[in-house]
Amino acid sequence: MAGKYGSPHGFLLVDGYNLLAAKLASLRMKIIALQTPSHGIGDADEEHSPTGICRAEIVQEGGFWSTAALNIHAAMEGKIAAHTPQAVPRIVCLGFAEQIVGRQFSGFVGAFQGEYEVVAEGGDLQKANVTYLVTGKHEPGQIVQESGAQIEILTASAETPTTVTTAKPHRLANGQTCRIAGNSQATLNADNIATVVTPTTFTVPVDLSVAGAGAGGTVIQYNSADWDTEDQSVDWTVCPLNRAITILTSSAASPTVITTDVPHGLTNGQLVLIAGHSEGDANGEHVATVTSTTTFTIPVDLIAGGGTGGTLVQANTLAGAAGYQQVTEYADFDGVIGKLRDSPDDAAYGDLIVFTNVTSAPAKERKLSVIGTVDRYLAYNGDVTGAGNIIVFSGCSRL
Amino acid sequence: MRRLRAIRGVSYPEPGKSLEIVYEAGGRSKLTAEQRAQVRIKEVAPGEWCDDFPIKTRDHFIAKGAIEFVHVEEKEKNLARRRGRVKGEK
Repeated sequence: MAGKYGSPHGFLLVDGYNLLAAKLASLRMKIIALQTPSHGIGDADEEHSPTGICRAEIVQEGGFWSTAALNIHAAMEGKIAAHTPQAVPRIVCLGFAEQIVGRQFSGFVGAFQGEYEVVAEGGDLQKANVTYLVTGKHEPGQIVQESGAQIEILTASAETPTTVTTAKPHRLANGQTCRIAGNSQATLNADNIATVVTPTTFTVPVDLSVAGAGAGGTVIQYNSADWDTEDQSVDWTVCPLNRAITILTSSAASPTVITTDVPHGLTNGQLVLIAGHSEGDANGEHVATVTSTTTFTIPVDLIAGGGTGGTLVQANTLAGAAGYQQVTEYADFDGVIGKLRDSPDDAAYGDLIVFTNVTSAPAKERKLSVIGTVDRYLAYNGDVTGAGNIIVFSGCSRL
Repeated sequence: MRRLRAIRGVSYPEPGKSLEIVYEAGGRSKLTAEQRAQVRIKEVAPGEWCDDFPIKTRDHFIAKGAIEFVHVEEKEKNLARRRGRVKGEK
């Protein structure tokens, strides 16, 4: 992942519950590929073979536990009851780089076990450590729909409409419904339609010209009508999970043979995006015909002379996808159908994964795509029936 | 007559100005707020017609099984045949 991220950037969703503790001291994730002993009588050395199963250990240390609805107390009280024996597989979405469309997350599905350790020390508030063990699939992917993050409000101006200034980018869309809570001016604490002014300011139709400026509180964005994220689609070619491979040469032939310095990992028929190659015709998207682990051809005529340099990345994937959806808040709708969509050109989109109709929260689902080809761009579409509001997280892992 | 029908839900800019604006910008995610206001997006549910689907990616979506060509007259004739209502056929 590019850049550096700090403790405010983690998130942990389990079966539609937000299990991240407040004021967390640390959040860790460890993934172990499980092996089983495979030696027998007559073997001189110990042998182990991979089982194909991963175990993820997720640890929260030193947190103050939130008693808000659908947060950790509600979950630990018995809804998930992670510290009791259970056979129900849980769906976990964990991220360290903040819930922003396009950022990485880790999806898990499998048996879920927890340890809850209360820590009471003299002269300190009560804290606790929690360890979760998930045994099953680990599927890294990209966030396609971020769930409503709580953004801190700095000020609300003494005018009509009032201008709300946030401590960091609010990521609201023009006309989107947002919920303001905890502001010093009580009239502002409600669901409002936002008009975006700048990335950290927006106006809401509330008159504070007489009551005076407000301060503090948070704003949460949520969806109250049909929506999609196609205006902020996720491009696979710039995802850190899609490793850029250095090109050594392209041959003077038609079709030209591309040689890479390390195994390219492409599948026959996969699209590649080439950039920075010395022969311009080779740059752009092409269908690859794999000839070896470090060579493939593209349908480009370079008989006049081969080239050197540049990089390639995959421009689609061919093995399907696993979609994750977690609904942390839901009210009043008759139903909401979430869809992951893909597109080869960021213009025309088609349904890739259609999740089950959601009628309550918490709700969670992991669903596989029916088709193998997953195009370059991904987006999320929410199709609502009736009136209400919803906060939903969705991510997609290419298999 | 050959018509294009959605097998899965699809969404695309309306042909003409909307499609031109999107292609010129390099995609829907690259539109400015001003351009976005000018673009009309068509949402087509499974089973609905999408004859004006963008030609540039039409074959790709057919290959993926998202849309399909349907010979309407033949289909109607087949339906009628199954019901035993085609003249001259037993």
